[in-house]
Amino acid sequence: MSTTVRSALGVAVGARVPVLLWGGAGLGKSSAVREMALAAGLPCETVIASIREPSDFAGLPIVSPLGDSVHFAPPAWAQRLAESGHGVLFLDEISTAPPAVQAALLRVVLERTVGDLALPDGVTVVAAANPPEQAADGWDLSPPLANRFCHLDWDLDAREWSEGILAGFTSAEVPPLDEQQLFAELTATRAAVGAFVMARGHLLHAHPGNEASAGRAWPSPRSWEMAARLIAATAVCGAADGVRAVLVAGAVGPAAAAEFLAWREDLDLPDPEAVLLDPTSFRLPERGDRAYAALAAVTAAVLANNTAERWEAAWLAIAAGTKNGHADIAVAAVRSLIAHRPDGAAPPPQVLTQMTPVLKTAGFFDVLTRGRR
Amino acid sequence: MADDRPVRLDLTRLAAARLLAAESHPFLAIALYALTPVADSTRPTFAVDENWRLFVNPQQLLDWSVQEVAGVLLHEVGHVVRDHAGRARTAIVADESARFLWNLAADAEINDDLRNAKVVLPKPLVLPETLKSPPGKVAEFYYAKLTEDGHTPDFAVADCGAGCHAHSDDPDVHVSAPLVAGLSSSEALLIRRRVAEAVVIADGKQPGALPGGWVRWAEATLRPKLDWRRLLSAAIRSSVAAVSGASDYSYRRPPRRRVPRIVLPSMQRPLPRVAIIVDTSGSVGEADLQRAWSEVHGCLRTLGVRRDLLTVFAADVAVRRLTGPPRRQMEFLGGGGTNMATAIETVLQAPVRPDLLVVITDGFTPWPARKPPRPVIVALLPSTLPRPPTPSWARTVDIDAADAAPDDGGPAQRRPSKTQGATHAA
Repeated sequence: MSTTVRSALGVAVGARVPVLLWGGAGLGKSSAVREMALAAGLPCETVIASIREPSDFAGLPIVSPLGDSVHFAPPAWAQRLAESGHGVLFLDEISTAPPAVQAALLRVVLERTVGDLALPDGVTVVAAANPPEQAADGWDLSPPLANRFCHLDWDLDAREWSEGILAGFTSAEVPPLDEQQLFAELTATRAAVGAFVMARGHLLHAHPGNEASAGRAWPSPRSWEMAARLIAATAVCGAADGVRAVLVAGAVGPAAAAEFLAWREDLDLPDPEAVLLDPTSFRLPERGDRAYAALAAVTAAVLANNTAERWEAAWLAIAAGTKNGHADIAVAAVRSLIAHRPDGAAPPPQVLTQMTPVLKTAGFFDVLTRGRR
Repeated sequence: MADDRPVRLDLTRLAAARLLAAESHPFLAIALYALTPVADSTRPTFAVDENWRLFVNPQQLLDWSVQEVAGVLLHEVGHVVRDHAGRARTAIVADESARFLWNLAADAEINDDLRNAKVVLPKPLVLPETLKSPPGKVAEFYYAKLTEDGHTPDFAVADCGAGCHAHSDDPDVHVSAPLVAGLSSSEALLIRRRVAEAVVIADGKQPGALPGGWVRWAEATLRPKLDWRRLLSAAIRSSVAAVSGASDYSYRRPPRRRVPRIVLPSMQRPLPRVAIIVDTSGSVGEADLQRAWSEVHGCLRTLGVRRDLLTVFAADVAVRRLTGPPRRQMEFLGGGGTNMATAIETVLQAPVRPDLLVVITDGFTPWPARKPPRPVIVALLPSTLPRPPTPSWARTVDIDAADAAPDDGGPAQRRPSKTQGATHAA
């Protein structure tokens, strides 16, 4: 469980997307971040947000000797990060920071600007927070600040922890991401995200109604942009499916993420029109539910424009299903075809023979005979 | 195995059973097809793991009737679709006997719905009645009941696998052939969502035709409900912050500590006055009222709202200010109907106007026609009867009925009230 979260943390840091780790006190969030930075050879500056003042992030206003201007002086940690050119800025305990400090953090998190000093591009912001209901003096994260992070839930598996304490904990790995490759991939994922948002307009900007959810991930143009970058990064470094799902949910919230991932999965189905043109070379997906979806798409395409030729082509495509050991899935597709048989069309007898054993065992044989009269 | 040769997995029989199962539960078709069957003759019957691999004892597949196999498929797919493994982790099912109890509880949850759908299942069958529990509940409920009872019921029930209780007994021991991968957790999540959507669509077309457990599960999956305590405390927290800018930095007044040439903000901590109006009309249930009251009170105390700045009013036919310091347990006497419109007006006419109003009510009341000059939070007590909507200018938090909350022991939820933001030196 938390292996996925740990890889997700690594990918997000590699893609330089701000991450926020949520978890109770004592779960080792802070040490995990420091160890990850150490393993990746990145300098790590830890700043505990709850004991800081706004001026630590917005810069300390210093009146010039003449008294005619104000300069915002950056604190030492920001100067050290600026000098090294890359690194991790770790903001600990940000949910216990008072609202004014959270407001000052906005520019640091998104624009990497502290006072009058711009942090270099190589700096990633990682934050950690205790859920407000677990911290006595906790505030819910203000929605604008929450929306600038990819939220990851940091939990520990008892078994994983016991293995870790015996054999040593593995730190999160920051994968090397080639900037050019990432850019190329980003063009493709942006297109996918754009097409999805076009289809589901209500998910472009869906601010949740209550404070508790608004302090977490929710969809907005900014968080979709972040999701696109994270998806591109998982594709470049070949991360597991689970990691991608966690990251997308962390950016736009679980509901929008599930809808997006389901939509994207459907894009991978074979094009039914192409299948009908060349049904004999059609290969059914291995996974049963994907096979079911593919066959349903083929039969739906036939029913939308039902000619004898297309109807018979669908049968040949279904035959691929019976060969794969998915005879029962093929039956489901066949039934809707039989109900809509165009005049002069006849089902290929070999497909029916292949289905017969399953139908007989199920005591369902009359399904086909009834259809054929 | 002592047999001369192992029994081969009869895929035709399995496909036929799957056809019957998908036929009787069309909304589960996609989940049934997503199971990857693996022959495993060391398991007594059928089992699933968290990757949606279905372990099938080939001999058992032949011994049961096809109808029974279909029923068992629906049962096993129920475990993975309802995410019993993930829920077992949340319920902290740790050792072997707990695993057995959880397996029983999860079986009861599934079989309850399968029985209502008249599905044929092989005996012995675990049902809510077998566990001496009422039907229509979730596995967590049955599990809590079983652990409370303290004795392990002696049933010979087959282990449903890691897909039920999240503890995998090493699969290498059982299966010699290299294992197929099965589904990843995110793929499983997507299938769960699709099933839930299918349930909602089917239920909309033909209300009442689907077993109630499936409908409740789908609603909870698609619209996860947040804990009302969390929502209420978040609403109160942000209102207190907005009303008074409590414990925040401000440049309005210079700090006492001066540094030459540097402008520092100072810590401002104005104290908010909060009025709580408790609906004491005859329609309000005492138990619900106490739960809401202790939560509101605990939350305000945690936020550092001083006792003397907290006023409590009881509103029914008249509005009375309750004297004496507000405590965690209070007795609210009253009766008759309520008019919140006049109650809010009266409270706001007090010599020292409160900065924030928290109203605990069951909602059977008229409301002020215009937005009051102070923010209002409404803690809405549960009710099964239709009632007027709460006004849009109030922030409403629905309080769940008592038995929906898994633990109703209030004190564990509340934080000690001594840790407050006052440590920030001014």
